[in-house]
Amino acid sequence: MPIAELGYRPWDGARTGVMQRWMAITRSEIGIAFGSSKLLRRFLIFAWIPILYFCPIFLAIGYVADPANNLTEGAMLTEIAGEFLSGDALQRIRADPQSFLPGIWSIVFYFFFAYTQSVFAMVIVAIVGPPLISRDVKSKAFLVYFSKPIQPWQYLLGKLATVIFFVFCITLFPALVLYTISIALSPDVGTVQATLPILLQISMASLATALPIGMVVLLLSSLTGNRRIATFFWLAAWIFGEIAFRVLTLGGNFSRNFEPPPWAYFLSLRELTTRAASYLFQLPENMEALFTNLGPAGERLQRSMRGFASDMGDASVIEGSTDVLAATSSGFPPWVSLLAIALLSSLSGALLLRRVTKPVRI
Amino acid sequence: MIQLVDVAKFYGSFQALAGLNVSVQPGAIGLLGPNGAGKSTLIKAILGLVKLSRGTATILGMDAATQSREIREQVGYMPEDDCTIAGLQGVQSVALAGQLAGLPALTALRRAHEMLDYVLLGEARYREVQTYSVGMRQKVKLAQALIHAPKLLFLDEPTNGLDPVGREKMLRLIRDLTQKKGVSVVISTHILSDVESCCDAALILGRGELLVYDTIQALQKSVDSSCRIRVAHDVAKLCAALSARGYQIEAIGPDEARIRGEGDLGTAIFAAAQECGSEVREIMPSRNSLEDIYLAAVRATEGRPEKESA
Repeated sequence: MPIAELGYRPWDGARTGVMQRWMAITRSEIGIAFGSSKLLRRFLIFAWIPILYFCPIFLAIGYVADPANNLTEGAMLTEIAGEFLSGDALQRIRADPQSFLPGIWSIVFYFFFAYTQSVFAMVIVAIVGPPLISRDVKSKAFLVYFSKPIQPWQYLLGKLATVIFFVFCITLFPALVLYTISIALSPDVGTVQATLPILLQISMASLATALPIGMVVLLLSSLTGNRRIATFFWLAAWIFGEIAFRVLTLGGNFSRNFEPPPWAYFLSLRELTTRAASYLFQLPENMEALFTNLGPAGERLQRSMRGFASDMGDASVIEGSTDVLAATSSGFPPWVSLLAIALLSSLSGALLLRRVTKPVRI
Repeated sequence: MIQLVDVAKFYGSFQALAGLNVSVQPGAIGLLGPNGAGKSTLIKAILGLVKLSRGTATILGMDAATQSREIREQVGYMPEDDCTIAGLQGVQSVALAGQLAGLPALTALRRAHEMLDYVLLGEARYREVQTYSVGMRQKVKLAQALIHAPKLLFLDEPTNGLDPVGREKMLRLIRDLTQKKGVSVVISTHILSDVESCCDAALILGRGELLVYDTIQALQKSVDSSCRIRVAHDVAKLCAALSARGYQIEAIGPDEARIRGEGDLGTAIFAAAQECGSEVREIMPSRNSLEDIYLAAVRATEGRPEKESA
């Protein structure tokens, strides 16, 4: 028996706004995900490990770019920077850090997104996404949601925001940590102003990654009441898409003249989001400006980038090419990837609305 | 409370609701009808979840077609299916329903506890809802429907799957809500005794048509003038005396009989009893049972061809 049972009492207080209702769904789903999956908690920690790789790079760039720092005193950081910047290149950057730093940071952030976090994003979505709607399909919980004053789009937004939150946990939030470290080590306050657009790029690239994969995983989740089947659908869509893309671009490993079909990257969700990230980080423009300014001194940097991309299994990197990301500018114009993401998300959203309202319409 | 004017709903050529016209008064209403009669469709139409093919539905003065969100702020719905949100504790599940209804998070949590106290779900509220028994789930669903203090509550098969004790507790809660808390309740059920025990009126649907809508009292009033009597010993002598006066007699048991006839039955019974020396213990006017009314109404629609959409 409760100590202070108040019984049933009427309530006539002020109701919350539209925004807080979908956020209630998101908060609830985040709580369920954290509470029910040890794998998720462990993977979130694991997905931050790439910071340990990228952090020294930013530290090194920040240290060597500051003319006030003595390169011989910080030998270790200078050595790290020396891995990809020749002595000439270092001197040029130290002479005018604010011209070089935004471009270099932008490129490194692209690598962070494209080669590690985009893969982790696909994995975390496989953990978090499939049960989100399939659970409600199984228990017919739609009626609990829709008998309350919320619209189907608010329900979907609540679920989507859950996926976006977890994707941001391994894209946006670590990228912001890296950015903060970089700013802390930057030569002067002027660097903050010069690199502010990078914050927007990081945010947009994170959203461009989270939105399409979130919509697709929710759509797959709405197709079945069994979360395992939904997970299988998602893994199949990701892995088979990736394999198809790799097969179609395989010729790039053997011939510089090989031209993969321009639509090849549409088959791979991860590649599609990577392309969008390259567009948002203005990768081709930044690289061209950087290498033009560095001239022959930037040759080691190009080689390092090519080596890094190859190590990460990027089949589009052509041995001997001066453009480390030749494939990102091949085929359709880069903005097409953003358009494809918008179309894919819209189509998935429309189908999702039909799927989730079907049980209550009949 | 609920005004339906020519309310019709078609699914393709199938007619789920066939031009309902009714004005439902506040109180406890039993919504009855066989499977496929259109009960669930009617509830969903009232909540604004399905679009009407024709007609208008006004609930608490609001139009279901254009003010469905406002209606759902004032109306609670307890679905028939499990409808549990897996992974949440009972109290979290009720608090979430409150937040969805527009209650601030802290208020929703406080009221969730109040509602769970009210429906008598104790410490089990801290367990995940998947682990609940059917009775516990029904309680959580009722608490979810009540958390935003609705003026009108729809209960879809509230006693489904409950044991007799659980059923009685649920009915007691429903009676308390309607009689003491001022909440109007529409109970959709197949269990007629539930309606008899806690409803003021019954609305019977069949093939999407309104078959019956009246108060339980009016429905149970016998159309013919008859009553049931019980005497101390042998009812045969009294029956013979009444029969001699021109009344129809139907013996029910050794000391009970049903008397039919015109005029003042009470006076005639006492006169006959005095004449033959019988001791009358009980005289009760005959009442129709809800089951008889329901079966008569539903059977009347059987065999009729289904209406097709125009």
